[in-house]
Amino acid sequence: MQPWHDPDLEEIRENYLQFAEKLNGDTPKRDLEGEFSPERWKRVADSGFLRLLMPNSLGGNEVPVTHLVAAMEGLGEGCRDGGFNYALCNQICGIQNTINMFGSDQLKAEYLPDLMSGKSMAAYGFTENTSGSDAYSMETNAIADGDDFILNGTKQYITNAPYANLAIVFAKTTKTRSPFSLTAFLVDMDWDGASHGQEFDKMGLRTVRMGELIFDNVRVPKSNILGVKGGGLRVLTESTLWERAILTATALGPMARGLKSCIERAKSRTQFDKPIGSFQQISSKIANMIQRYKLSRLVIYDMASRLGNGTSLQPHAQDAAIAKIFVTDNFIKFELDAMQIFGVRGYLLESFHQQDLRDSLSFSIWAGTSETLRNTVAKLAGLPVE
Amino acid sequence: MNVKESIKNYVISELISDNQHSTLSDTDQLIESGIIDSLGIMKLIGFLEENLSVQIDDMELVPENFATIESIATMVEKKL
Repeated sequence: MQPWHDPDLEEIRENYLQFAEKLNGDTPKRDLEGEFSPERWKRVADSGFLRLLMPNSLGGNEVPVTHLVAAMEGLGEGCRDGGFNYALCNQICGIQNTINMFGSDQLKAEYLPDLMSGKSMAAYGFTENTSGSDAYSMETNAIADGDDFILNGTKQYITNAPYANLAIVFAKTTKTRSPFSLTAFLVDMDWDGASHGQEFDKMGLRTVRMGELIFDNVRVPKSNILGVKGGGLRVLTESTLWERAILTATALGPMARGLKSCIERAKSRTQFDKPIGSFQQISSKIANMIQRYKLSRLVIYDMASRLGNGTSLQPHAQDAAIAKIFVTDNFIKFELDAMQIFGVRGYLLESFHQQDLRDSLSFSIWAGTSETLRNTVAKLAGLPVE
Repeated sequence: MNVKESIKNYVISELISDNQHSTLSDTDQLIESGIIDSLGIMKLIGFLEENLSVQIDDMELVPENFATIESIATMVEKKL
């Protein structure tokens, strides 16, 4: 049986959908005001969502990755808060999974329980003002000093930064552009010299906030390195591959919800004494939306079925990039069609369609822009791409 | 085909795309000379783990182990 036809997965999806519908409430208002909800974060953490992928030995559920995707689907379909859902799933795929894969037993035991319970929130500190796709132009650096490293630099455009009390921080530990010049550290934001800087307002994913993380001579113990000194490339590659393959599943819930809404609209809205769904311009859009949704599910469940907990995704690097590109392109086109089907009503700020459209545009940027990912796909095919 | 030849063939056929290094020697500096970049390193690790059935531990991700065909082969052969 293919994983996407598994009745167990359907039950997980349905259970999370029913739970997540109770999280909506004032979502349009919070989206307008760019307000994060710590209270909802705690409720979702209490549901066990943040424990799904984590090891049993630390209080996690250690479920197959397909189960996590089913839960993400239900959460995204039930809860209309794309920014909030993104932040939750980003913490699982980008933060907790990375700590679980690369952290020492001591680091896992020290940090993962609080992340799973919702007591602690974390950020992924990679991007800088002048460094994104070009990782080796990074200015944040860490210099060895006894049993510690001294960390200096500023990370920008970081999801969850304004309230994160923990951060994965990438820094150069040698000045060269060598693949071994990056190191990943786990940094407690309460440590001396670590602070939260400027916040950035943005057009989509508004209910999760974005900002700066500043490190001014922060003393980080060597024991807080994820992986090894100089092994940051592997940490970065594995974590972004997880984001490309699995975090992309945050598109599925809004697409499922949008599809139901648009089909209902096409049947109930009449013009010229006919339901608008009888016009081929509309029915074609709906048919395309169904294709985009179903094919995106297949792509994501295929990637999820290849992954085990803690398993390297490296042999699937090209497919993970393709999955992200494919789902992103289809999600954006899906939401544009949904807007057209709803007309002016979809354009109103009270409509979740306009919110989903704004949220969908972020997919072509995070975890590698679609342009960068196409370069990756071509380069992995052996083309001499710069 | 031995381990070293297998790795060399993979590097030449899959990681070098500019046709400038078809006569790669076992001691040519792969990283310092820019023959392999970061994406190439990760692709090579995938090849070693999948095709030669070895696990490259995080602790082994150091420049010395990936400096040349010779050093990569030495690291892999210790695991076989």
